[in-house]
Amino acid sequence: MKHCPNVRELSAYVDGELSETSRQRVEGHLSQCLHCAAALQELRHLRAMFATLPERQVGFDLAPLIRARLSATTIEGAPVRWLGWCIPDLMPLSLTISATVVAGIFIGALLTVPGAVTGLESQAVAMFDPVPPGGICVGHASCYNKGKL
Amino acid sequence: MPACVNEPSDKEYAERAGKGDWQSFSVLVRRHQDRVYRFILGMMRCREDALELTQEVFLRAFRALPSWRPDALFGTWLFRIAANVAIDDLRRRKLATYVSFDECEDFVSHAPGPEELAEAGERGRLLESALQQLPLEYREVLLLREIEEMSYSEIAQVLRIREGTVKSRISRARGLLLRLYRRQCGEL
Repeated sequence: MKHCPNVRELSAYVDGELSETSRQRVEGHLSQCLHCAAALQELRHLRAMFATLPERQVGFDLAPLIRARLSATTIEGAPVRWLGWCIPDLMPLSLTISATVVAGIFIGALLTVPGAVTGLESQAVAMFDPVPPGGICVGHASCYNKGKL
Repeated sequence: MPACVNEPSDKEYAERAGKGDWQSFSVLVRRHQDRVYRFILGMMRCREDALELTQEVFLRAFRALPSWRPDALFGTWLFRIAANVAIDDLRRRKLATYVSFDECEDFVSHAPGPEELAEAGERGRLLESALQQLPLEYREVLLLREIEEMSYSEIAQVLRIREGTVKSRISRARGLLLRLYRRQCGEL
């Protein structure tokens, strides 16, 4: 028959997705065309078969599993937001590194600034001397009398 | 699972979850897990794969929630993630084309039992088998229409395509599915 709607139109008609004008046109045609009526019947049959498919379900709550997977990759809850930065769990580590560096600079300054090391402090850092108290220095010539005894 | 009248909407839960409220997100998981699972199971072959990917969908959703905007329905947004996750996985495994239905024992094990292997059940199994042979773009659009009962407009939003494209794809998908189904039934 002439002017049969294409399959696209019939498919949309089954889904109720045609405009009112198109719907009326298709319905008018279907009442006269056995070929299109049969095609429509097939599309409806297909839809009906989908409706008979078993409704599959997960069967248990997935939320705990998802939470466990999230915890494995990030800290629990939302990332810490500070001054616009997203720092999940690096804060304690960065603080430790900073404190270590500052302490190192401070101790280094005590050892290198002239006059900064007093006698008492000198004793305090004597433990860092490569020659133990009362020991023999094997590295410097002035440590030996070379037969002048 | 539809929300009760007095329960907060998906939007409210999603906004709370976006701020890191896990309890709100777990409500969203319970509400949507079956729909997402059903869609992915339709795309994939195996129950185990579908369960794994369903979790992946929610993981991605939780991470992306801070950037979620309420102008998209949470369910639509979630299905967009689900479609991406399923297709990415299938492409990675190179299962994007034909896959033998009988290769997957898990899927077969969820087929109707002996008493249900009546004509209707058997036809359902054949339909699922034919569905698995459809190209991905046809399979996803049909699942969203027939199983999730989404409108063309919703499908267009999920897949980020035009409504006209949805209309064409559904029509072609049905035509091809009917041919494949008849072949399964030995009618061709």
